[in-house]
Amino acid sequence: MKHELLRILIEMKDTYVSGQQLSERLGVSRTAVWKHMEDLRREGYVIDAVPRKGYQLKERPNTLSEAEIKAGLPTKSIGQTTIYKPTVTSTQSVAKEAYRAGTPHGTAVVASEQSGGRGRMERLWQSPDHTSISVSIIVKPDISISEAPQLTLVAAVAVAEALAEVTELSAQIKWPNDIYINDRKVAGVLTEMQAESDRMQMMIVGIGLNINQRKDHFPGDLQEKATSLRMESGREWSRANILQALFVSFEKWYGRWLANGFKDIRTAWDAYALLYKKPIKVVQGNKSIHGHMLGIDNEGILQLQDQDGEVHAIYSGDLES
Amino acid sequence: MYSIDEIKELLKAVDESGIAELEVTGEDHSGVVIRKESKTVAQQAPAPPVQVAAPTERSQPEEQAETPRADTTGASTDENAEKITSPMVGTFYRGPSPDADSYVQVGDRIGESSVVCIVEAMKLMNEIEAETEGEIIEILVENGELVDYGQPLFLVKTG
Repeated sequence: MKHELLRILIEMKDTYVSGQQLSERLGVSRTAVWKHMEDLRREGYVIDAVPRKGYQLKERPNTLSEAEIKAGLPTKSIGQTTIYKPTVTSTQSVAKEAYRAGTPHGTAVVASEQSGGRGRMERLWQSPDHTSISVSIIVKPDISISEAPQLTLVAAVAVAEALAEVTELSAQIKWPNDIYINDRKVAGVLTEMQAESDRMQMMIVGIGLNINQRKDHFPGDLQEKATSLRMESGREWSRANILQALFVSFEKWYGRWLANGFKDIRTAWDAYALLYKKPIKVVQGNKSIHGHMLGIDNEGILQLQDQDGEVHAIYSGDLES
Repeated sequence: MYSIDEIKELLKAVDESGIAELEVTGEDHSGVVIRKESKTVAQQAPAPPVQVAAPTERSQPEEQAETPRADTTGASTDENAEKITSPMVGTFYRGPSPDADSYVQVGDRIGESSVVCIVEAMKLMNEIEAETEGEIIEILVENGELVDYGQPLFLVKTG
């Protein structure tokens, strides 16, 4: 109820809405409306109340909530069902449970803080309260398992585009899944899937974004490797806005991928690629291959040319300069 | 004497039968012997409902050096051993993280939905489910090794 009220206030923030209107739209008494309004004020919302005109939302705290995320969200499915948890062990695990409980395609699980966030192979993702976003999006694509890894790259393009659009910072992608600004990591993507025999049932795209951290929010060894939108732009960002831009961009690129295959994604991906046509090293466990990055092929597989001119197709590994 | 066509028919009949050897002697038939190799017997026997266990020759030559082959353990193992194969190209991981325990060990009993490993490609973590029931009798791939599409990963004794 409180969320519904907030959603109406956000959607009508350019005008006043009367207590009478609110109680009709929400189907509760005006006293109940007033009580929820007080709750919102306690959470940091500044709501103007003018006799005979009604209420208007003036200021929103930089917190995330289901209502903040969904208000005015112009997507068809991505984020239209949102599960918001302030703190979770991992949004990926919550997403898996939600899938088992039958949640629809496009459901997003969002958290402000992850106590056990997973980077690749469960490396901890830094996520101090209210400065970052962890989101897991559930999709149900009708694709074969061999095409599935491409979704990581689709999501990386969506993240890079959303960040660039909102902040005007130029984001780059390090194959296959890390987003960089000025050579420091600002976001990461990790994908999981569930299939039965060869039929895809669902995929979960996990995205971690550094938004409003200061340098000292990161532990020492990460300070030179990680960054946030705030550190790069010198200002704070509304996490709800970033999330909405991400949902819009993800829906667009995901749709293109299903409709036209990986071709479109490859072009966009190349344009964002870090170390494109540069010397690189790919580390695979305790082995590494040195060479020149040629780009990715039509399936998203990294093409590395070694000193003898031989081209290696790289499916897996960590890219270094 | 049998004509070529008749011999072909005989071969086919023997192939489809359960017998290993057919010998025709004397008179006009003048000594035809048709003998099936024992391996062929196993392969040509009526197809089991699940074909997963069909031996795949593709990736075995490289593995031969390190790992004893399933086939060498004899026909009885072949009958109730199934292979769990990789559904995609990627890196094989035995556990969810480098420090975590492996999902399964040799000797473990698994059910159809037991997760046995992860195959990762382009940061897509694919938790592989057994899709068969039984006991893990062999792990055919090392942790961190690159695996091919269809490459056998585990040998499972079913039933």
